[in-house]
Amino acid sequence: MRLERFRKKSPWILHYNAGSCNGCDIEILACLAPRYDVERLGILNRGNPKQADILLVTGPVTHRSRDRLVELYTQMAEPKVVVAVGSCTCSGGIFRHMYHVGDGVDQFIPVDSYVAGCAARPEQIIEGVARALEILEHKSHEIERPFQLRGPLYCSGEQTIRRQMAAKVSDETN
Amino acid sequence: MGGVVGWLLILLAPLIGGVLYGMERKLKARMQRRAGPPLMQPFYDFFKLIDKRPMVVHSLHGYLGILHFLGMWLALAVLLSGGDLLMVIFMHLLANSFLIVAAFSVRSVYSQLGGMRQLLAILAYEPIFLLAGVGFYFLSGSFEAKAVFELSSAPLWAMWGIVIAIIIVMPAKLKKSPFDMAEAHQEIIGGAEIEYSGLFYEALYTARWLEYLFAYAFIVLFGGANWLLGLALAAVVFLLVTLVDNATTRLNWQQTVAITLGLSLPLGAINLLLIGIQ
Amino acid sequence: MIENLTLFLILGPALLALVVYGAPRRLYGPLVVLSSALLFSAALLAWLLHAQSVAIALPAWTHAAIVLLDFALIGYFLWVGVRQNHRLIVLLALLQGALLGWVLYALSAAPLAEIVVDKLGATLWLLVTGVGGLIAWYAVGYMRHESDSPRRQQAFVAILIAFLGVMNALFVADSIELFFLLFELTTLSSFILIGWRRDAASRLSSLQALWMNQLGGVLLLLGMGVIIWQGAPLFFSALLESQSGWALGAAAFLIAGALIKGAQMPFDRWLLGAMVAPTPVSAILHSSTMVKIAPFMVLKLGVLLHGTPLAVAVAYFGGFVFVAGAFVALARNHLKEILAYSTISLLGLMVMLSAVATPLALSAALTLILFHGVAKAMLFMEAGVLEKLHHAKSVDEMGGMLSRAPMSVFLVLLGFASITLPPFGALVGKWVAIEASAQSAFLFLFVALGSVVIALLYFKVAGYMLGKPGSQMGLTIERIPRVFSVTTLLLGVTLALSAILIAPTLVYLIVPAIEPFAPGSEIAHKGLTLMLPSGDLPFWQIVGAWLLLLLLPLAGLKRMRRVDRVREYSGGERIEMQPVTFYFPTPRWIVRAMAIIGAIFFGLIVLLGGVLWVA
Repeated sequence: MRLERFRKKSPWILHYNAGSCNGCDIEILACLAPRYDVERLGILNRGNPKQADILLVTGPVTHRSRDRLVELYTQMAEPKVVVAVGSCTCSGGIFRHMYHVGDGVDQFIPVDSYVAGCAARPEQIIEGVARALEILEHKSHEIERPFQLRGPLYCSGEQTIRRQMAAKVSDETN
Repeated sequence: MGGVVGWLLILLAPLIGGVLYGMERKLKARMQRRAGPPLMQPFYDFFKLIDKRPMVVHSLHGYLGILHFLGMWLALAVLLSGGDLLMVIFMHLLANSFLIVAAFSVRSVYSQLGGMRQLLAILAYEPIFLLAGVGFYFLSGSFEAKAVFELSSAPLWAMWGIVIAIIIVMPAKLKKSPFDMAEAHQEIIGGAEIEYSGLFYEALYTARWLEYLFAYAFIVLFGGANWLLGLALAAVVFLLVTLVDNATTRLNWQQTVAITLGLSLPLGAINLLLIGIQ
Repeated sequence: MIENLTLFLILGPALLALVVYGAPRRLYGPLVVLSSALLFSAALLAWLLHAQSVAIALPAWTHAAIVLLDFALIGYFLWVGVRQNHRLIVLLALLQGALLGWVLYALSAAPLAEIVVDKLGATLWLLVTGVGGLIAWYAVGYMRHESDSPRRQQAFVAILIAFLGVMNALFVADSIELFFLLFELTTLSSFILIGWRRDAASRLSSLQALWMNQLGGVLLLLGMGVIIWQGAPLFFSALLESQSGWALGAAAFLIAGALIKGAQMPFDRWLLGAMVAPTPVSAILHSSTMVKIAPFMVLKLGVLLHGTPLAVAVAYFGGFVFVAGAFVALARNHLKEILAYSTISLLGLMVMLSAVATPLALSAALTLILFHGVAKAMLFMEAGVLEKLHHAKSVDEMGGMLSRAPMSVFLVLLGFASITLPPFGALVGKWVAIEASAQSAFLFLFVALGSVVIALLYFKVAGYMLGKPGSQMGLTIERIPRVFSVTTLLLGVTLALSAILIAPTLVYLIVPAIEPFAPGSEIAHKGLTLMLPSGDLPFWQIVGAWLLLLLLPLAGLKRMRRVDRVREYSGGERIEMQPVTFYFPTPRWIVRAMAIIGAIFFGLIVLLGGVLWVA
């Protein structure tokens, strides 16, 4: 049996707000509510990185939120995908080049699917997730690492120790 | 139950439990006027979880999740093979104790809080289930589930108070609102199960299916020899628990313990006394 | 043969204690091990050879010796009371003296044998010498960590060994006069050993224990007085045969006295205070043997009580203490105090079952007495190990102990599991208890509620010790002095083996002890399957649960391969969590209410005694 088939039948979501204005968050919640009801596609909002397959990020990644973002990302088990929801998340949006933001989530972690819009509409979000699921189906079990705030990945015998995989901002020479 | 049917049920328990869990998700969605996931959704989740990269906090924690699943299956086997009802409940405690030990064994705030609350949930529902066991003993003269299935008049009629008491504590057992403080998805993100992922979460996920089957199989006992009545009662309780889950908010542990024990324990005790008098 | 073994088991410990006390430093350790082994093999031999009750009449001069010793003890208590300026002790000693004088004055010649070795007594010898011997050995190691002089350490161990003889005699004494002396001797050993450390707390606790136990002695004397007043012989066997009301009256006083020894509420405080003593004392006197006098007395007189209002009162009292003790323990934070209260609580359950007094209930009571004895001894010994090697007394200091002392924590976990989970002896005892007490709905409610609260208590404490940081790879068994590890592991292995062999254990150990005076418990076994009249426990359930529990420590030691290690989730933050435990503070008024309810029950029992006597 090809287990990969089931990846897109039961995508569990972790939703993280990296400094969004809550506009996109509300649209994500609208997806989960009865009108769009993404649970019919098997999507559940787990709120727990360890059990999630998709990281839905909103917001331009403010400096305060960046190490949390990376930490959550590294706690997710592979295969995993990241969906950037909203213009700020894709590129920094109206906050681009400001002193306190990171200009989009793809500066920190690999993004698989971009959903533009301010705020992104629920239909768009679902479409973005569906695109991401196609990518998810073909992903391997290799560990995916963040671009910034990268910490070391230790090996001890046959175990990989990913406890330090995300570095704290204070450790970073940034 | 006993016999070949019983052992077949035991063997197929995870399958049946999975379908039951799928039905519950579907029903819950329909109650909220949603389409809901497909009936087989739990199995899709099952296969997806196998496929994830394995990851644990530490080995002991991972193994304990698997022990929890095995313990739950054992408890279910004791029930479905027609075993002693008290031992059924103690075996269930054994299974849960693995989960509690696991919850405490990681240094995670949510996990430890979840473990503590799981203990309190056990405090809330276990006396009532023991009460039910004694109620069955009053009627059948034996503690064995086998004997209950031979009762010609359904225990439901004599044990009305205990049935109501069980319905009251049912949400605590299945971790449903308003007594879902042990899981509390928005608050402590699953409590005891939070640190599990992939294959190890799978153990807990399937243990939950078994828990569903366990709880509803216990309800079927109230039909006695008339197992159709028992199934009907289980269906009603299933509807009711889902409805209450949708319609209520979470209570804290003091409220949970006060309501479950304060309401259902006297109710069950009065019922037992009445049976005893007869 | 049995006669000789009995004499050895009763007098031998005193002689061995003298040898141990006088032995040179280098020899005393091995001598303790040797005497423990000797005593246990004697008990085992006696148990194996025992076919029917053996009556042993003591020579006439022993009567004078008993009287002399009695007055010497009371005189000593009086002296303690005067020196410590403790009026209550003085008063109680004087009262005891007066009562004893009157009883002896009215006492006629003994027509019966003073000692009757029945199977029950022989079975309890196994507990006393087995657990007690191991604890004496353990004490050799434990006392090395105390600041006492070597001579005093040897004295301590010697007293423990001598105490075993007292307990052995107590469980087979048929003469109530002799029983009273032994009862007072246990009071004396409690007093001496609680005050062993000679600090202010020890002094206060020992005085408290003394006056409460003296009160127990006074109640015993009252019971004896009732018997003497009726002109009946002062023997348990004679008491059991008489069906009249005064016999119940006497039984009520005797039971009330024993209940104080068992620290049942409202007299729970002396046992709590007893925890200041060195840990071996708590292990042997205050959990596994001496406090068992309470259920033992009810067990012995249970057949007499059966079906009387007195039995109802005692049973409900026991049930109440079972729940109340567990609740009070939830708010405690010293491991030894938690163990003490759970002992009180479980003693309540045993008292309750003994008072129900159906053959099944008596079997359950004896099962609990034996397995609780083994489990609690092990738990206290582990508490001692944690205290001496890891300097942790309160549960707060034991957070994450698993990463430092995995073996100790696993043994603590085993001890807790053996009281709360299947297939262990104590749980099977509880299971039989529910099946036996199901006839009366309310008694059973106590069992249901109490056992859940005990489970909550134990898992709360055990869970707290388990918080292991994920950054620590694997567990390495800590190094423990051999005397500690061998003694505790022996008890642990006993628990584990008796769990899988629970059906034969019940049939060959418990049933023969109960059968002679309460036949018809209908406990049977087929292979490993345990069969009760109201339900079976098939072997696959026992083996299944046992294997699951066996896998637990293995799971702790076996490291997973090819599995990633990930950080604990804390909302994306990176904080190292220090686990803290949760207490369920019992409001003061509830504690007070519990003491008052206990006192009412206790008063009721004594009052019933008086009423039944007069009626």
